[in-house]
Amino acid sequence: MGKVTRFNSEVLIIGGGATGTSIMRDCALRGITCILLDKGDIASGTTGRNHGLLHSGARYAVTDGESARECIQENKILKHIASHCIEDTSGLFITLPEDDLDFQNTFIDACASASIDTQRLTPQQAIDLEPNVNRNLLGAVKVPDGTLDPFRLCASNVLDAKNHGAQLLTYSMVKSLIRIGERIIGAKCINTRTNEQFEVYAQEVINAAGIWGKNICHYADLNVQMLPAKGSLLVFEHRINDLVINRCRKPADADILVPGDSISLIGTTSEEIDYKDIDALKTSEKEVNILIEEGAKLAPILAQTRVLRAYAGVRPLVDVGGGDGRNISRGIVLLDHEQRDGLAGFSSILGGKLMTSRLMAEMTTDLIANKLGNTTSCSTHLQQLPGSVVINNSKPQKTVFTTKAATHRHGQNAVATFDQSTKGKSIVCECEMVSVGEIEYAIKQLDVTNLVDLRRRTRLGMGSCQGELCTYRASSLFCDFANCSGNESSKLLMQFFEERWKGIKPVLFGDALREAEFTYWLYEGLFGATDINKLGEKQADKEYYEI
Amino acid sequence: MKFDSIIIGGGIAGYTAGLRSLEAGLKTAIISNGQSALHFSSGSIDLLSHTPTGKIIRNPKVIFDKFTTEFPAHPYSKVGKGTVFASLKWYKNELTNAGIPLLQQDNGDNHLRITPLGTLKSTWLSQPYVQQLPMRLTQHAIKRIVVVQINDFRDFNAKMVTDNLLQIPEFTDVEISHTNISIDGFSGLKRNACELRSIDIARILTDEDEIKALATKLTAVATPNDLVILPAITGNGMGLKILNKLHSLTHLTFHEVPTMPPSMLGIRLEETMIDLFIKRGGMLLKGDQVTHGDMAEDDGHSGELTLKRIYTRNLETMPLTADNYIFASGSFFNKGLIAHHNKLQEPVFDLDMNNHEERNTWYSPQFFADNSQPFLSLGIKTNHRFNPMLKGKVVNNLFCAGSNLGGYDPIAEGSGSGVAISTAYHAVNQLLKNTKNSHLQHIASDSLA
Repeated sequence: MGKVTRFNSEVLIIGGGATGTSIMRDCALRGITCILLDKGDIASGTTGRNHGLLHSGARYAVTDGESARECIQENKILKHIASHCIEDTSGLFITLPEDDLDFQNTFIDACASASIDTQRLTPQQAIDLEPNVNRNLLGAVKVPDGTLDPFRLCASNVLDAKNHGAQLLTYSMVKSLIRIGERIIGAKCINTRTNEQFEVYAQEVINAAGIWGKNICHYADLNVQMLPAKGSLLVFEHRINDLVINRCRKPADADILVPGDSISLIGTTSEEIDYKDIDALKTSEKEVNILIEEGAKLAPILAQTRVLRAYAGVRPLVDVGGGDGRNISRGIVLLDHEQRDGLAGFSSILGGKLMTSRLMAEMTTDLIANKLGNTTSCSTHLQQLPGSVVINNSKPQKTVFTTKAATHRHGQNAVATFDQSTKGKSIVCECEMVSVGEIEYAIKQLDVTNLVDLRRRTRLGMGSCQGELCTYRASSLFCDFANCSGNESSKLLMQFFEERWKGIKPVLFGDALREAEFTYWLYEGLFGATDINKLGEKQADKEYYEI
Repeated sequence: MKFDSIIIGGGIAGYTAGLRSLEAGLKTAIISNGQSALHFSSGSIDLLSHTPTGKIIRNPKVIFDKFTTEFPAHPYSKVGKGTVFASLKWYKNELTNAGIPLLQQDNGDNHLRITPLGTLKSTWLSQPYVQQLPMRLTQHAIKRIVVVQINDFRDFNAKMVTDNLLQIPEFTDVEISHTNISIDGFSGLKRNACELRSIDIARILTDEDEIKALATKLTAVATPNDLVILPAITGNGMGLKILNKLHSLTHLTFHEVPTMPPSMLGIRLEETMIDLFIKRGGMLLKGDQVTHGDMAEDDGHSGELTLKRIYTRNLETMPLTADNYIFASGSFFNKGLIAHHNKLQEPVFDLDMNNHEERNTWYSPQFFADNSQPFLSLGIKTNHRFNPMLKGKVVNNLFCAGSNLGGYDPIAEGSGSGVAISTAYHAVNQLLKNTKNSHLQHIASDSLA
């Protein structure tokens, strides 16, 4: 038995979603040393599986005033600190003939009491702003909605935190919590890629694992009831709307259409699922049909637009009443287990939304800092994230498309460090304009270990070709920059297509089927990819068809 | 315009049908909506590598009778052994005479080709610079393999090929390595050499000096006893001339592997067939697409339909007519078949489809599944003569060929090009039976013999 590696830190954060990475940054900025663990990549759970909507709060104004106020407050903060993750598109809440136009007044009043700016538009004004909106609309209200790239937000949080001394361990799963009496002092972990075991010791352990947080609590023999609700979304091949389009009515299925970079997204459905199913989410054909039919009411062109893929996330709803399902919160749930359960050194931050992740981090870090005796106050709402800082350069720059796209993704500071050689500048992914230099940066600086991680950091393979040709090229770069063997890099390629397949299966018709057929012809027919996993088998041992 | 036969579709099935139809003396037109799937094909001709149940086939001819008995609905079973092998022999001769020799194992076995990933895939006919490894792989005679990486070329990864080949147990005693070679012509380019595709390099390698320089560099890294694996980066409009030249300069044994698209090996086949078709007087309507056709009840056969005329996107209201039509419109990717979210459709004539199942039966849970993808076997419903049906009525002068047919899996079985060639060849035989010309009927019965 080899020696088990041990890490020490003031704080251990479990979960690398928007909340976990925001806590990581908050701790780091306050001078608290921390390690963040995720069982997969950052933003690979619920954080990366939603609309990417920068809520104004308007959606919650009528039904949940508190959430609405939190949203608009965070909306303004994020526009300042994370401008590179945000597109300030504005949003429309449209009233269709089957909706009640009177609801508009209720809606506008509720927005006003939550301090959300609104502007009532005539149908024609709405059409002028958003030509693809359903032209039968009776009216619209404009609100400060926008889009928020959750992958970029998490990557920037991590980057900033690491710049301030924090440490990230991805593909690291907690197997148990280490406990001395009534105190949690760390966690026993395993690297899911190498199966290497290690331990992390910390004065405070924070459970920021979202829906998976129930399991983490379980390791401390604590019971937290979580009610997983699945939400499915569809991605369309190109950007059909420039403004977020919502229905001006109480929130329902498939009533938000969000633009995002080169695509548009429609969502969501909502369906309670068994906790045991949270790692095997599937979008049903019925959900796909609902999303298309309802989505087409917002923008009729949607019905004629190619669906790239489907995906689903789980809302981490918490039953704060203690397990009888009567007291469910969609809001922020911060549990100080020392106070609640008499177990020191352990807290859970659950519930909430992508929009409130920074606020959740502030609340959690306030609690932890107090326990640690750290008196530095929160500055995450004031300090801009690395990619968001704009360098003023008086000299006119010769910009190339890859630089422009990468600057949006990583900020000017990072792009300035990219390899500027001919090879570095060459384009790998033409749909999303990703260069070799950007991929090198992502592999070396942004904890990218495979092509799926790379997609989250750079959007490589997210465009209309779905990674058909560029992932082959990108896979060879893992040989160059990550010391992968040729065999490992071919397995990365297959892993990417298997991951992609999960999202394509529910929408396997039309152009998605054409693309899948092309990919299969190429990678199986021409390249023989399936045999990558069987290279060690002798030909003579295989099964032959004889007379 | 009036023809004896019109072929809808310009892929391997379409051109096979076109050439065969010309050979029978028919006034022939092909309507092709652009480049075919050959542009990302291996350029080898697969006949039958696996059964639909996944068992490996060493020698297609030996097991053919057993196969057709066991799988009676397979297109090969409808075409019949005689025509399948006659068609492949014919195709091999046509291409060989036109400068693209297609070679096979003397004993009629399949052979294994090394793929761009360094895996092995079984096929039946290959071009001269594709190394044919025996199905009994331990009998291979390779001592050393050198995989050549062209510097800056990203559509081929020599390290991947090398490391995967090293995992193959039968190659334990083979020395396998990869080496980098630069192409001088990359330096003078106005564009970024790292973004070049195979076809761009093929253009550079038409220059005599470039070929000589490449030959010198290759000689420095390999000996004639080695197998030199090269990405397919030659032959744009020149067939095999560059490789022949490279071979005569170096005396090296090359194994060409296709790259990411376009595949020069596949392009050679398509260009050669197009040239032959035009040279022999065929009418090629390139970049056009059949939009619809007029059907009428056939007076001779009660209950059957006859296709009277077809309309194309470019010719709009001016229809094309022929005695017989061959429908080689391809699969989903080629838009020969359309999958809607609730049904499958043949988009030109709305012909009956073989399969009406729900779309959740069209795919396998894994993408690279051992049992392939069910959507590959979907297609048009046909009778034993490959006539399709429209609302249950046979269209008796329309013959389907190639990948718009259902009931076979071109990839998993390794039967794509074999089915395309043999069904196209068979279709021409069938349409000759429809004509009254005795000379033509003679040809038909000849081939059927």
